[in-house]
Amino acid sequence: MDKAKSFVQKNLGTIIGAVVLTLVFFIVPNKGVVNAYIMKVINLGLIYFVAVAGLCVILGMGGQPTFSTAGMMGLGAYSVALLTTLKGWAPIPALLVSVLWVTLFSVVMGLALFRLKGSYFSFASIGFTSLIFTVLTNWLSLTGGPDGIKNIPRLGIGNLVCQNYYDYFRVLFFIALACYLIVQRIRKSYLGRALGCVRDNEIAAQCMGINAYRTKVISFVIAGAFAAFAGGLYALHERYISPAPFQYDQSAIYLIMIMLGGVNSTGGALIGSLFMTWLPERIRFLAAYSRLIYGIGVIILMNVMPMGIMGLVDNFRYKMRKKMKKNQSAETPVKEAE
Amino acid sequence: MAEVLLEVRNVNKAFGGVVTAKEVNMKVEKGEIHGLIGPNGAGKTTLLNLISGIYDVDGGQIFFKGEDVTKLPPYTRSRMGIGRTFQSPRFSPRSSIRDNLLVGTDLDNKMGYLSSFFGKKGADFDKEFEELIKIAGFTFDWDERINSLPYGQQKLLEIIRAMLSHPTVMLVDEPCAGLNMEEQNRVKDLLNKGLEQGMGIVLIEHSMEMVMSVCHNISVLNFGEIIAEGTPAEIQSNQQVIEAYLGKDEDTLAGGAHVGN
Repeated sequence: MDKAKSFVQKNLGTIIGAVVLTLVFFIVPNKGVVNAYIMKVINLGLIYFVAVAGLCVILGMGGQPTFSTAGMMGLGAYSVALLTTLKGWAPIPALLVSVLWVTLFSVVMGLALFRLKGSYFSFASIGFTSLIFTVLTNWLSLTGGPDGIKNIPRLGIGNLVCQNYYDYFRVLFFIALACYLIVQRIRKSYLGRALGCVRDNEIAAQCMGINAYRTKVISFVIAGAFAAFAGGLYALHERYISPAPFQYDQSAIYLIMIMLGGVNSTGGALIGSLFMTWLPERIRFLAAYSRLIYGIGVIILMNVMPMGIMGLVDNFRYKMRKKMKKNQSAETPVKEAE
Repeated sequence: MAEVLLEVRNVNKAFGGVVTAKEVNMKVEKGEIHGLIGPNGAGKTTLLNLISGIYDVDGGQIFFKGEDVTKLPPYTRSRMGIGRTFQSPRFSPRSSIRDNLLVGTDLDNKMGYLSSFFGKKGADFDKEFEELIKIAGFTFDWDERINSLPYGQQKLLEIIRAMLSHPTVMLVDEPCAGLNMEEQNRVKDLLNKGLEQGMGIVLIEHSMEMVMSVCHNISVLNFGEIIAEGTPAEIQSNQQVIEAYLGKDEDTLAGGAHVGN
């Protein structure tokens, strides 16, 4: 009995998480709980989270603010759209091949972009995304230009096809969960630690045997793969794409998502993604002012909570732990070596 | 004679017109603490940066265990076994203490990103760390952020991080600056532990008491040039050194004053 008890205590967080996730999975995708419109918004939030999960690696762990996310998503989305509509591929192989080639493309781009450091890298990544947008808009014979591509098939394998937004949610739920777990795993592995070193002091990192350039390129490739995957899912979910959502200013929105949630937290990235997808829908009647609201919001956010929502949570937890420790040490004085 | 681990041969370096290394020669043997002293701006840290590869040499060569490493990037040199610490500790302030220190063990284990992702565990980190932190003489919470620790403890931890990577040669840059006497003794104990493990250590230090008591050999730098080399006793009685650096008053030497800074 004791053994079972200590197992529960040890894994309390995981158990609560599993229960909550199971409840969410079964309760949320029901017409009585959320309507189709809200379901669609949540789905989009999850798709954006997949892209933002990549930012958790390159920006959160590696400290490299990149505006390439939207561009990489665009490449992923358009290649899925073209492979399925022009070549008649099934959605899953199209998705896999798209992610694969965009990942390889990210290797090349990463090697080139990380010749530059700091803000120069960020500016170059804006250039990169603008370039992709220009190609998508102007290569009329292939991409259809501003009109975009219609009639992209639904996500599915064989006869198992997502018929509505609720079905999509059930799939995206697991995809988002997998992405979350992968990023958490990276955070706890050597790559996460090495990126932390590179972020805070590149020279010290080099002196600890870390190849800073290679490490940054790897983080860029991971971010590219996540973004391409998100782009492909976006195409299969919306079933119509145009170049507009792949402009570089959309990359800024992804950056806001991760900053809002907390740059150091994968869970925060999820919260940020869902919130920043929901907010524009909520304030649609203010559409003309939405940029203004974002701008002011970001300035306030960066001043009030530079580490985002999860940063606040972390600080609170940290203070509580300190307080608890103080109380403990008041009861039993700890021997301090001095 | 013990094995020569590190050899600096006729190394030159200048930043614009400022010469920070001029025909510098230095040898570090196994089991030796080699002191590097000189007034501020003499080129001590520059020399460490040249050895660890942060700067490229303008001329000359650097050998590590008989191999020419002059053209190798810093991360390759540290993987080969040239470890170092910095004048002020360089950690990731946003990462936990555990993550900061594990990087040292990762280096020792030649950990790869993929193998680590798929769950490869390193060598027994805790046991070795336990031993080292006992020498350093303080405790802390693993999951706290590293900059919540006092400065002195951070400096000690940086030496421990370098030691966890089991370097062959450890370059230690002013470990005692800003530390109290107790902590300075801990630094000494840690360096001696490193010697026990068979390291060669290069030590930059302004505290004469420290330098004279732990170093086996000392090189004195002035304006990028080595003006004297020898055992602590020889250095203390070298007229040129006394004039250039230690001050003419012999009492300063015996009293162990902090020169420079």
